[in-house]
Amino acid sequence: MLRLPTLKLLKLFPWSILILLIGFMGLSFSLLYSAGNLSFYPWAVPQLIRFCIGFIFMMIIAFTDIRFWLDKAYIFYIVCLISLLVVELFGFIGMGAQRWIKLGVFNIQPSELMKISLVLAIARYFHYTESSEFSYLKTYLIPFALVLMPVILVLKQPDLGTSIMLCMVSLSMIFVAGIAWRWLLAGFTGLLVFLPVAWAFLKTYQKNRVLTFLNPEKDPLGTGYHIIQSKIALGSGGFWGKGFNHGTQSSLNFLPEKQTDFIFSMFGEEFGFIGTLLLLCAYGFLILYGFRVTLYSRFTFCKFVALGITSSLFLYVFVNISMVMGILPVVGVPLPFISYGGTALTTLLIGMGILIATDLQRHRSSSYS
Amino acid sequence: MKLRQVRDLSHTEKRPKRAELSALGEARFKLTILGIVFLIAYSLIAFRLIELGFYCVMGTKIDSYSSPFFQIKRANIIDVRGTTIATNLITASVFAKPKELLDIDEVAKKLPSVLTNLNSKEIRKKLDKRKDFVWLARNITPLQQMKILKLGLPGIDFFQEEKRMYPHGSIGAHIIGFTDVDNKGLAGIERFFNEQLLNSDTVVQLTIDMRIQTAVENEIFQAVKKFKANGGNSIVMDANTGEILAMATFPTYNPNLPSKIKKETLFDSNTLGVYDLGSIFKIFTAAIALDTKKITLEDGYDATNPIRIAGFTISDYLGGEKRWLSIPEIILYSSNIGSAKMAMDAGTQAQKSFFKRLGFFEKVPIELLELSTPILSQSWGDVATMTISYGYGLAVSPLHIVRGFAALVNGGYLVKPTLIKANISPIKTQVISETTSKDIRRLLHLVVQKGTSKKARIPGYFVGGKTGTAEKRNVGGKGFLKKANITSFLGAFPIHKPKYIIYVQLDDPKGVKETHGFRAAGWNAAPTASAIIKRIIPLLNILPEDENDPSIHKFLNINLSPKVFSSSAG
Repeated sequence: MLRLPTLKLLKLFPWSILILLIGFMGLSFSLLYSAGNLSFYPWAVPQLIRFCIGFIFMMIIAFTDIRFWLDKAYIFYIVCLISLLVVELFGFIGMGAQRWIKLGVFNIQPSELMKISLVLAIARYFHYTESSEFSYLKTYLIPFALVLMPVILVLKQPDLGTSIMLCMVSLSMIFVAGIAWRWLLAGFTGLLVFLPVAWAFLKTYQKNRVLTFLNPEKDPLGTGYHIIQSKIALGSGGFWGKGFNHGTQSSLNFLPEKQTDFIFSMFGEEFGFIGTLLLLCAYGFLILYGFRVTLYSRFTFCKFVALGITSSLFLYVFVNISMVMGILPVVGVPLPFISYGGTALTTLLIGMGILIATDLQRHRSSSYS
Repeated sequence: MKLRQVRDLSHTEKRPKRAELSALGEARFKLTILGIVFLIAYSLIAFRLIELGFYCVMGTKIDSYSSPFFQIKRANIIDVRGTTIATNLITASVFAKPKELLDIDEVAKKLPSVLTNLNSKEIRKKLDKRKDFVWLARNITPLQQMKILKLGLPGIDFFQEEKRMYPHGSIGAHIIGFTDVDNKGLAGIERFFNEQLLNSDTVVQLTIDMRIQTAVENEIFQAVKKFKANGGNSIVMDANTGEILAMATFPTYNPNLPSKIKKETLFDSNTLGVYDLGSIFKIFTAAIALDTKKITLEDGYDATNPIRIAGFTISDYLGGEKRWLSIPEIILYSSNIGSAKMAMDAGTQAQKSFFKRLGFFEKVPIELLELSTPILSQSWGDVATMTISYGYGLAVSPLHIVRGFAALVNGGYLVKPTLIKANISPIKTQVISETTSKDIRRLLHLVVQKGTSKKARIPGYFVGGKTGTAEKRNVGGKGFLKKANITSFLGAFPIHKPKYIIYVQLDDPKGVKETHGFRAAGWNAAPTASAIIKRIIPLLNILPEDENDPSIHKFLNINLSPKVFSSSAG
């Protein structure tokens, strides 16, 4: 597989990215240690192990020829789709409380992996599309179908966060592919018209969630609790932060889900405004790297894969931080590389592996000519 | 691994056509737009971060949420003498940090000696090593807290919480109301003054006297038990200022346990219930007729035969006296026929405008939200005028009748009932003349001395009042239940110079041994009122008077068989 002298690729390998990711690993480890009240268990060590396994995956993938992924893109997609379907059917068989626990372990895997296989599938489709066809609407029917099938299945789980991520990532790819502005505009108007209709169909508790998002202080002990506590934690960090493991909101358990989706507020409390800005810069660096790869890729598949992965990375960061700060409603999206949780981390590291592979592909393909 | 041959690996491998070039340019353009969108979104969160960072530095709003156990301050409520009715208790809640526990076995062994509702097994189960935080017990007593502290268990700690407390328990519950777990007032004064009480140190002082309230509630409870009634209620009001001293309803509830309150016990019969009160209205009828100067106390009516009107017969209880009756006798024997004739002489219009002046067509203006508007059950024609004259057809709340009654006896002015001690002189509106009020007092005294309210008599005091025994209205409002009564007593004391109004009402009292099977108000409501007055009169600083005091007798004296009949009755 590695027909190229590995040494040359090692030289071209974006080591800065690797170092940054190792930095994230260290940060995640210490935060989870702090979240566990200065204990390596139950979060810090398991996550470290996952990180190590994930890194091995990432490195293997990074040195794989991207054409392997081009070749297998649809197969991956179909496998993921079938797993989603199995989860859906499985969920119907197992009833009662058991269903949730089992599904909780089970269901996240296919939907997380779908984030990558969807990017691969759409990129492959665009790769085989003639450049003259990009301006026709009918070109985008298949990508839409590719998005819609997993989104419907994921929505049924129900996992609003993942469905939104899938939609947004695909939309960014379709947008760059060159869908005509008027169709995009028509889509948005359609959505705007559809929203009030959808509102009418929502159940009362669902409406409450949206209303809580709009004004969390209205119900501080109920649905608004997460957001308020999270905002307090963020705000109470002040400029320099309270210092490592000195956060009161999080260590006194006022902050729910502090090890997973709300880890950013704990980080904010302990490392303050300066810390959060630095973290934002670190993510910005990763995203910029992704953009650079997208821009310099000459291989259409690479371009779209890099774009898709960069977009999802951006969305992970943006949605999570906005949610924690109460800009967006709470929709279970983890903070990449930091939040506790195996599947999301593995997916992200695989994604990073593919991104690096597309980067290295430039040099690889040039060596062919 | 063998890779399938794929089409052009990159656009640069071939010389790109012009169309492809422009497509590439557009892709770059769109990529740039996407990048800008990302950048804007990114700056948005950065700005928000800055905002949140400075929000706290300024030290504003967020502080009030600094703990989920909000230190909600809610002002105290006290009674007229300064006794605390509602306050906040700082309680401790005990929790454990299992990770910091040195010895779980020791904790599990020692804690049940203090927290008696937990056993070792349960505690051990709760203290899961993997958890950071576990509640062990909420709102424990200071003694329990001290004992736990003395056990010296590291990893066991306390939170301070605030809990609304009503030291008197259910006493006065319907007036004070209660709050939910978030300290939001859900009923009574707590509800009406919710905004003023929240986050305030201004104590709210009520006109209620907890000593009197306790006595009244106790007597009503005794009466309900004794007469096997469904419920009972009572009001004691200052006749001249409208200040409510006590207002009791049974069944009642415990405001300290809001989660255990049954919905039906929340109903306050005094303010929310409306009833056809029967014979009590005869005193109002007399007042209308006297005040419009259609009659004097010297007049009388022929009550020999029942009145037949529009297929409807008005007759007296058990046939009545079957003769001419003087005005005092009509009240004394509680004659329906006499009342109806009095009302007809005064006229529908006078009756209507009188009740309007007494505020019977609107809610009573008082510091509560649980209020009702009286119900008129038919169109106000001749028939209605006659039936209303003896208390059927205009259902009012006990608070309405007490307010109206105060005007009849206090010299003729309407007061505004209040629960809040304000120390400002009340606005008084004259609704009947001083003379009429004097006559009414004499009539009321007569009824207690010789008539249906004899059992309300108290040695050493001059009490006046009127009983009412009314058939209970069917659920749904149409027609009356013949077998179930609302019995009531409406009185004032001391009657020659009224200071206080008392109202007692019993819902469906049964005939018991002591009442020789009778169910009328004279047998249950009147003695209950007497028992209440006996208990509260010393608290009100009213001294007994000489029962033979000639000046009082002269004032209250009434001529039972006036001059009119000496010639005509024969």
